[in-house]
Amino acid sequence: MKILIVDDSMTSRMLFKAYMPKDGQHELFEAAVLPDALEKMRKVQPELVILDYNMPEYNGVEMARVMLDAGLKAKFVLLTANTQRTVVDSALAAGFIQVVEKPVNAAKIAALLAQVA
Amino acid sequence: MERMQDSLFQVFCEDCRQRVQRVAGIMQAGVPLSCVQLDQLHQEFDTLFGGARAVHLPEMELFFRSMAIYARYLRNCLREGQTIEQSAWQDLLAGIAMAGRCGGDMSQCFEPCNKPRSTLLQVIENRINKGNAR
Repeated sequence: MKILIVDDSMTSRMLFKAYMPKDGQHELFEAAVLPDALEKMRKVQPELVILDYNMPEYNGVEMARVMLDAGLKAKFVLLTANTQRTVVDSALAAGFIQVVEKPVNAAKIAALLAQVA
Repeated sequence: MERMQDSLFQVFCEDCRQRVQRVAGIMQAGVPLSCVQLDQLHQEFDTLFGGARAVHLPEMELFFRSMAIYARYLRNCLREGQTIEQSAWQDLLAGIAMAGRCGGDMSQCFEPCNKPRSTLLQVIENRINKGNAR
């Protein structure tokens, strides 16, 4: 599965990469800002897009809306340390399939991939 | 696993340096800051909070989280039209200066900074609890 992670924190992106299963079944792409994310979505057409919530300029939910408005389709997952009801509700209303609480670990990523597969 | 943690720590250090530089850039405008600038500070500190948590640095996690909360608190005070007194801005500047030390040599920052950090955090917490930004 092609997965795009969009997070302005390089620590967070690396943590995700480190805990990804090394089974050769997944290909991970990274972006830190919206223009790069849009370009990668067009280029690699990921099945799954994981977006951080708290980013400069656009939050993860707003970014997903921009992607959808641009006709880019994928399953969206929100990654956030902020699991306030309003954040979770806004993500689900925008069509996100899941909200994963930061920090990620191997078990959280495995559970997410099993759900999406 | 240990190698992964080392690599992650190095990435966090670099992330921290870059964000502290951006914070310093925001502060160049001088106080009082605008709501937009305080939102930017909140975003940078909140991301550093998440990074510190990811690399298991609980003191840094608490520090960056508190700074993020304080930036948001000042933003809310400003938005409500409250006057923010100089000492409240100075607490923010002190926190940013401490973060700046983390943006230098990280290894020399974590332990030696713990005491002054916790003292500042107590001041900030009292200020927030009392609703005292003015």
